[in-house]
Amino acid sequence: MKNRILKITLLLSLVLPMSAFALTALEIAEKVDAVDDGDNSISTMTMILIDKKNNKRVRTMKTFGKDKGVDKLSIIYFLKPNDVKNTSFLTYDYKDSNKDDDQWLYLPALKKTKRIASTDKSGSFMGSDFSYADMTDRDVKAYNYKIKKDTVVKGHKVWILEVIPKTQKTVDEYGYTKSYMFVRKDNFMVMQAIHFLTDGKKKFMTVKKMEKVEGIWTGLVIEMKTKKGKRTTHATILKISDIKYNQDLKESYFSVRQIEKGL
Amino acid sequence: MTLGLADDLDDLMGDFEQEEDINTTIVDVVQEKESWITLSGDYTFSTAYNYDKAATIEGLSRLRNTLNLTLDMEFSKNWKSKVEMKALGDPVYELRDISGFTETLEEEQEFKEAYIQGTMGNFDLKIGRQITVWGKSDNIRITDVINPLDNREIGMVDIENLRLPVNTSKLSYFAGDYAFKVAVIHEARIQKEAAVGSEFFPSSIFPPAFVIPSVIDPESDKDSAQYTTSIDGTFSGWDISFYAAKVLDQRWHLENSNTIRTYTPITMSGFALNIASGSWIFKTESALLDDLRYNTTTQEKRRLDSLVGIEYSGVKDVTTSLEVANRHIFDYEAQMLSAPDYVRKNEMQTALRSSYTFDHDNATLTYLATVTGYEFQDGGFQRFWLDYDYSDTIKLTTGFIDYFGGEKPYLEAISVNDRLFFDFKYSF
Repeated sequence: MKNRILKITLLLSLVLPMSAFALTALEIAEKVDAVDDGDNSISTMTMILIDKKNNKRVRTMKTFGKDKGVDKLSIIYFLKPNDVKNTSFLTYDYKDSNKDDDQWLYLPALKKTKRIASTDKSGSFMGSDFSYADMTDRDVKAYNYKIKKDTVVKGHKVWILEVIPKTQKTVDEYGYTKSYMFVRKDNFMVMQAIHFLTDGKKKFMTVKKMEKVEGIWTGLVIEMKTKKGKRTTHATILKISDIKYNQDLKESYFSVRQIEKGL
Repeated sequence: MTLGLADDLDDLMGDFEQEEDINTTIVDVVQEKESWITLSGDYTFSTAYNYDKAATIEGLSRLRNTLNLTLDMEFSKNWKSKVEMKALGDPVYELRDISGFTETLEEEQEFKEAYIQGTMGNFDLKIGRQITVWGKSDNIRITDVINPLDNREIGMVDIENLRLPVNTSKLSYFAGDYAFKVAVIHEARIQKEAAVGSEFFPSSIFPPAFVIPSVIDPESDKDSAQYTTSIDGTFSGWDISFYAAKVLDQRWHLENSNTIRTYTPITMSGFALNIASGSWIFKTESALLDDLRYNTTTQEKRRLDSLVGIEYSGVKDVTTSLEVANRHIFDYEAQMLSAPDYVRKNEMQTALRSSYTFDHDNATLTYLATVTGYEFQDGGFQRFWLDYDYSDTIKLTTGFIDYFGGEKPYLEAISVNDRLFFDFKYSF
């Protein structure tokens, strides 16, 4: 399964184009989207939320993911903090943007699984600076692309793509009016991004640590800062650990039965 | 190679490395070693102040200390067990010299859920004290008939303590999108009700000469076993469940020439349906209940409970739901409107809930109103509260509940119980 976190903006290609310089912005975006980001994955995800007073909160989750054709199935089990322990979240993320995702949330306090319906993906994921939109695939066709710069960032040759939603509906659903994506030329990974929010704030994403895991480029430490003007108002560090691809995950695992049973 | 002027971009690129107050230096998070056994829990201090001058307990009405402990054991990949214990104590009754109706809210210790569960291929087995939730609605219970409730403080009981677990053996079979479940309930557990004469069981709702008798608990033997079965279908965009049960009716009735109060079984069949579309969820539930006993008639009654509801999550960080239910009694008799039943042929209930989450999910404001009657004439309550996560371990809750009276004597009688409340919860 594609690494969902990387799908925030961190999509890559393992194959260098024969004539990379000739690619259009759309072709770059398509190559980013087409990147193999693995299948049947299991990982531990830790989010460190930092407020403007430097107070830190830690959220720990275990994630399971699988591709079903072009669609993606995933379960997130919440491990920490204790008051959300055993909460779990099942998602069927459909590639077709005209089809609503299916989502169920198991709430241990209620002993109940609740279906979630929301096309608005701009909300915060677990209180972090990542939104639900950041955690899911985006439809490449829903945006216009322009190569804004061709430069070197932190020793890597990159294209900086300007990404603008084609419709207000996409803006409303994903919460961004514009993004800059810093796409590495050597692997088509997005190593940095700047997102413009509808409320005037900006989010700055940086992949702090990126490695090949089982042959798949994987972002292991990702930072997302929310800024108002030049001032950072909140930040999140996302750490992926114990990631394994190609695990023996059956499609039937991604079920309401499983989230009710727990890890 | 620069392909165009991008001054704002150049400026923004500098912001990645900008010095600032927030320190995002990588913090090493210690990964706890997974153990086959874990103990977790929480301690809650809860206080309330009744601000209505006519309240049964005016002023400070709660200084409750509650400890919950949960022991999770994982014996293998497919078998695990949970044991939950709860203890509470409230010195307010002694401090304020409130006597006569304190009962279990002054002191209580109990096991909550305690079960073992396992998986064998497509079968799941769960045995022990457990909670089984039926239905899709969030605020009004229609098909959710299995577990008795803690009704000692209407509108004030924490959701995790509302349903009372019962000893159950449950077998589930899963096939594709369907789940087939059968269960035998071995424990004839009844609701927790407020003590007679207390603020949530005012004796004023009964005629002056009426003596409210004691409750005789039903026997938990093999002859009184309860049975449930359900079929759940989970599909893209919608879910449906069908239910059937023989369970205890969690309303008491008088027997033996009105000298005892007791609980007897009813049969139930029903369904619940969810349909999701965009940011909307449409819900409907229906339950047909038979063998219902009332106090103003000797005839057992049939009742049809129905609900429709909507939930909307299209506004960022806001979720709002509205549910409307009707309970229709067949072969209704006029005297059923009298004490102590006070029921109409058609009883309508409406519930509205809206919550707004902000401050990076640290804070949630919630409004809940539930009101009965076709013209909202029977009474109900509204509750408004703020949950705030002070830290990963400390959660604070504060708000108020406003009971409003109406034509229903019970709701009218408890309408003086308006209160402010504050909870401190430490999780570990």
